[in-house]
Amino acid sequence: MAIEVLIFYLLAGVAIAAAAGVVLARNPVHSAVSLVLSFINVAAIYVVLRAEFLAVAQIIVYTGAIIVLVLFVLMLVQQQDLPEFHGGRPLRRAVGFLLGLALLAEVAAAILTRSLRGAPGSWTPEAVAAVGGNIQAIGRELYSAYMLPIQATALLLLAATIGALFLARPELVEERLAVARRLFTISLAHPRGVDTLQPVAELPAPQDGQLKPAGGDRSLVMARTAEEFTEQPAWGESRR
Amino acid sequence: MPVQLVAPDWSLLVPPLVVLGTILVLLAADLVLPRERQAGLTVVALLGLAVSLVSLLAIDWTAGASTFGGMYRADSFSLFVSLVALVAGILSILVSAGYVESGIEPGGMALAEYLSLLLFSVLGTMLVGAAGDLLMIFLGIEMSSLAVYALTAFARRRLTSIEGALKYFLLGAFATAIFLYGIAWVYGLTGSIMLDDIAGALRDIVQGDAPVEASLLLALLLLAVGLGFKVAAVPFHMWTPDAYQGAPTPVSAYMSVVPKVAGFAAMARVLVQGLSPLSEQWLLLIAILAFITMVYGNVVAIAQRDVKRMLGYSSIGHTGYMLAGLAAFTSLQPGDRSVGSMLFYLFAYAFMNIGAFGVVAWLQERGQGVDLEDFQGLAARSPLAAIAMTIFMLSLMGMPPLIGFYAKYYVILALIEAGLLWLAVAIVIMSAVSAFFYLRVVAVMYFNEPAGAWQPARTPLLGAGLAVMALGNLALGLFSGPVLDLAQRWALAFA
Amino acid sequence: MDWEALIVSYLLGFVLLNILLVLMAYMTWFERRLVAFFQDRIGPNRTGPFGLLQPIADGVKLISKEDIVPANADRLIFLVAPLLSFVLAPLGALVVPFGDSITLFGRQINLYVIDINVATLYFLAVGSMGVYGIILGGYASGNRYSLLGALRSTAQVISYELVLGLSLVGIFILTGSLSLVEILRAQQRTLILGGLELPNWFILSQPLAFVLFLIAAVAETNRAPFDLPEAETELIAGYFTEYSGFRFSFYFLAEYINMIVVSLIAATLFLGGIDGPFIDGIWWLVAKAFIFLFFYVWLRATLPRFRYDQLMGLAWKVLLPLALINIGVTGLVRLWGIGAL
Repeated sequence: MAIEVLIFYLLAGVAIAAAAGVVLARNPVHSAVSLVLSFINVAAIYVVLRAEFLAVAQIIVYTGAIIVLVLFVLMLVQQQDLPEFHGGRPLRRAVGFLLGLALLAEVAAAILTRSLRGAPGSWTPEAVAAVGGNIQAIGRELYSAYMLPIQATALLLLAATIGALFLARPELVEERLAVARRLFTISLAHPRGVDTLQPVAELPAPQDGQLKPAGGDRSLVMARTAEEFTEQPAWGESRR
Repeated sequence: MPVQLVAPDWSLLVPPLVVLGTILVLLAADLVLPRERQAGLTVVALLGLAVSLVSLLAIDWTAGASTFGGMYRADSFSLFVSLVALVAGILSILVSAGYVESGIEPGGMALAEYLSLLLFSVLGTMLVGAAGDLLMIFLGIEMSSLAVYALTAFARRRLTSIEGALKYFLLGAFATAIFLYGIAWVYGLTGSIMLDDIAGALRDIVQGDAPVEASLLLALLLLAVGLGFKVAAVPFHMWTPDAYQGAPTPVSAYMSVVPKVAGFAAMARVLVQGLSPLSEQWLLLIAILAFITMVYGNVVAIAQRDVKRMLGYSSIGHTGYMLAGLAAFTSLQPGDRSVGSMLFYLFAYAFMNIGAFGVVAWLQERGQGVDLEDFQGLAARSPLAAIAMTIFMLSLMGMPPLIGFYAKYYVILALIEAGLLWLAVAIVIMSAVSAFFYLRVVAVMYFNEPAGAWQPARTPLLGAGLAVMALGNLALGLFSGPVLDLAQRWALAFA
Repeated sequence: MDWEALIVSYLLGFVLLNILLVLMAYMTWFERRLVAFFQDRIGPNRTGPFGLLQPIADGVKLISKEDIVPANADRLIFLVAPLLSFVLAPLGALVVPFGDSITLFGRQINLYVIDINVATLYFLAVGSMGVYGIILGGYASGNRYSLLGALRSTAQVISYELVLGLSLVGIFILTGSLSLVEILRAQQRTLILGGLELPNWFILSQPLAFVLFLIAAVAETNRAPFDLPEAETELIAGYFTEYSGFRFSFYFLAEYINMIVVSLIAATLFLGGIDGPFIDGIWWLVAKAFIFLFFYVWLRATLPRFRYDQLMGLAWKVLLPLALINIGVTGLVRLWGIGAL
């Protein structure tokens, strides 16, 4: 038993140190990497607690997908456009610091005087082993007792997807071209996505549809359509 | 061994399922119909909500039945929350009818996505009202606010819209994290996420005069802060003015009501039903929040020239009044007016505030802006619109016999019964303060000369909606008894 | 705690890692010879008999080269990223079952390093972590080609990982387990179809999933025709443009080890792993994995590179819907008891 406690303290220590790194790092990419480290340690703690499924799900979902997307965004945004992480007025910083300290004291008091209650659930280690492991146990619970939350979560994600699709959807082809002519930027060096770093309303009007690369360092001229770029239509799209 | 699947009582879920069905119809129609032929979808959405409203009648709400292991409760409280959410949804769609297609927003707005997200938000609010555990409350709140984050940014070519949505989204996500942390603490301390079980466990814990543990206070604080963000109580209101000002006007109308209903329903469920043994602790917190919220909202609203922004601050003020209703809670007895007065206030607020934003949208469709100057001489140009706006402003101010007066009256009554005289006096004073900025709009409409170009436009649905809301303010004010009785049945649900 | 089992696991893991390293070295030789054959050339044949010592010569050359760090690189991340790629690559092999168990020195020793009940998910998790080496390397180089390569690889790996994971769900439904050992046992049964005795390999019951897995696995390992992150003609080797010497070789090693691991997993999941005619054993697994490796090289020698939007369109508009349909159909078949074993 002692060795497991030791392992736990090691993992928890690294996780907390990494979490501190997230806040303290000045470079946002370093923050993200620290967060990855923290997540991996938390996943390892789950393994110590025999929740392998949770551990793997944590790694696949959080480190494998979410932080990767965070990094993706950080790389698309130009570094000098990011706000100063450690700026702000001195008074505001002091108040923030004190509030944080108060919260920390409150949480510490709560943890030190805690009294966890409630009877242990019916999923003892033996019961979990009897159904074949903790994936099977989680599956059974999710699709019987927690059926309604699962369905509600599905709807929640559907709503989020619809919203995200509308906000991120490229404009209609003509509109998109008009924007592209004004911006002269493309993302990922392919002719489809248009990188609207500047608000369209504040840009100069298009000059009669001429493709004229304006100044600035982001001046990649793009083909009008994917078909002009190469002769192949995209997968799953018919040729217009 | 085969998995025992649940056999839920689907008949209790008919109203939310009708809304869900409407959403699916809208999405399918979006897939099939070309953009030009989607105008009829507004009617489809209205019909769906109306059918859902009618289907509320089919369920025996007094029985307090529950299904899915108690996670979904069909009781009098969920009935009223569903009622308010559906009515507010219908009114918001009426307000947005012409606006979405009209091209007021640069780049246009997509009707089918707009309507389906709006219905998703209504659905989430209904789920919060009917939730029997913290998980469903969380999911319902998220569904109701996630859809509104996206709706706020629907004018995606306008920077203010994006800015408002971003602030709303970031602070909302932050609040969600705080709320979830609170749920984790409650679960750790009581061993359950079912509200009734939590109340039972807490009753055992807080017996006697022993001081309440720090961990319970922390859990309470986290939950209250998280929900405070959702209802825009001061000091968690930072996102409100920008989001209200930036969002497309019908969205501002909608989000001033329905996500707020979700937030208050969650507050009632969590604090009154789940944490009622801790009421000594949270009552003072809510009372103080109510006070600073109403003072801040009403005082800052005075300085606003932008009517949408003014309504945003006034909405903060009204949050304060609603919180005051909650603060009047004494016990779970049927005679307690607190939650009932809060629910009635939400119902009344839907008619007043959506109406006010509706007139703004009406003006925008006629080529006007959203500043106070744009209301100049409205009475000369369109007496009916001016009368409607006057009714809404007076109702928001609390002028008898309009519904807004009765809403405040019941809150004050509940406060006096609970012995919170100082809060009752504060509401009266703040109503007097609010007269300043509400009446200013009325004065501008009637006493100034018209200025600026006027483009005539035909907006039948919006006009009908405004008429319904104006009449509703009068009629429901004069005959507020039945609605109030319905709201007062909340105690049966929580007992 | 069972210390002996732990030590045996570590030893097995150590041996496995070394075997993988050697295999990887000869994989490069194999690929070069094979591609040369496809292209009617000869390939490396000077260093040793048939050029067999070529990988060693390459290794020595790479290690003795100067390790250059660009001036505007994010130094720490630049130095660590290739290691990350390299360390994570062989981890997936830990859950591959190389056989049942043998008795050695009076102890029963399982021929797999670990049997966890989330083995397949673990493989996916390690794969999803592997992308960090690429993204961070590309970012830290301070070079636009590298950054573009890193961005492409991010989008590509996330998209194809979904397909990879979803293509396996059919197998999970059929076996009721995520453990590779369990999946292997399920395939060792015999399927009798109208008097015809067939092995119960999942390539037969899940052919669509097999094709999806194969495509997604190629994309996941950034190999041709999905090698956009390192597309030489447009990105000058993409994320490792700035790397040299042994740090470059780490990326190189990781790519080949990934291929080998994916081949082993694919052979175990779909082709019955060690199951085969006559005597079951590790040789069948090796032979099957070899088929996949050959397929990798064959693809590289045959197909031109995808365009970026084609790559994304393929994943989201073609493969993902197919994977979902496959899951739905498999679930229904299982529900109605036709496919229940």
